[in-house]
Amino acid sequence: MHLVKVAVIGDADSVLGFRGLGMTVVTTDDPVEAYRKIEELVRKRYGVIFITEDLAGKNLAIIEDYKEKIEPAVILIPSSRSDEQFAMNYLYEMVNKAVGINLLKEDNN
Amino acid sequence: MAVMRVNPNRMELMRLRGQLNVARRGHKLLKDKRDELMRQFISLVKRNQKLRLEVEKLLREYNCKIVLAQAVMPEQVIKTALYSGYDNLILQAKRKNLMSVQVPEYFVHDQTMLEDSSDEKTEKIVKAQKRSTTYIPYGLSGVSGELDLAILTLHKVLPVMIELATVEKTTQLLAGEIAKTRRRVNSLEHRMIPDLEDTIRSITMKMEENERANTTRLMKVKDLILEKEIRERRSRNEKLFWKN
Repeated sequence: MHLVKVAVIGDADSVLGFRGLGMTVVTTDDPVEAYRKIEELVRKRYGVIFITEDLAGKNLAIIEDYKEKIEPAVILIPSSRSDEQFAMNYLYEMVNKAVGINLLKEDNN
Repeated sequence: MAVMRVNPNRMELMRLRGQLNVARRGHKLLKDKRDELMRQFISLVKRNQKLRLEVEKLLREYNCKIVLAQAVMPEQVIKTALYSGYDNLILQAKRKNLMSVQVPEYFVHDQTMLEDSSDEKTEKIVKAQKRSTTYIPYGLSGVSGELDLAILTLHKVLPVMIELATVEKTTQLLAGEIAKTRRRVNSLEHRMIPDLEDTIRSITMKMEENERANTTRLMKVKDLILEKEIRERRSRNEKLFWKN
């Protein structure tokens, strides 16, 4: 068992409040910069990194690169700006790839 | 049908038969593993979906509240208020073994373990931790109540988000493992096992063919020898006859 720190990356409006929970907040609007920031956070041994879905949606490498590793967990959260359901669709796609059929979509409709 | 390029002899045949046996056993095991992984994956994914919907709902709520806060206070004030706290949220991470996949598990770092001891030094730590994790990290004067409400909403989201992190990471890791296992099962089922079977069949057939060729050759040689013998005896008999 070990201890990990938590960070949030996203545009200022969506993530600033997480500072009130004690998370480390990184504000950026640039997907490429976000990727660099994540690398930096990983070096500093952050275990859980939340990232807004519109940032991740513009630079898929952000999630793909850490998908197979145990640490860190890069998790999508919705941002205040868009309502594009990217995270949910990403989940559907992952299920689709692993199982071959989409198990979840029917539940939704 | 693809036959491997091997020498058709008994040695190879035995080797291939052993390989086929192992391949069949491995295939059965991997298939079981895949089915079980799939079962776990499905329930995980459903939970993941539920948690995500909840997080999205709660964060939307938070966004509404923070917009209200932004409406009554200048952005600078909010920023200063929020940045006055510490950024020291720490989670406990455990490793769990799920179907031989290492998956993480996150918990909010609980301080009850620290509170038990009455050591002066620990008490200080406890106090520091308590101070850092009290609900609202900024001074209440000069900041309007809307921001407090928003932060309190976030406190409600935190446990759900942490569970989502655990579940989503597990799902991702399991998905990778399922894909790997499925590829292995398929390659065994559609490539390795049929190839081995074909090769074994072709080797057996070639060996039988050799056997038959050998028999006919032996028969032919026997005929030749017999013929020679007969000819010799005949000539010997003839000689004997003429002598008498």
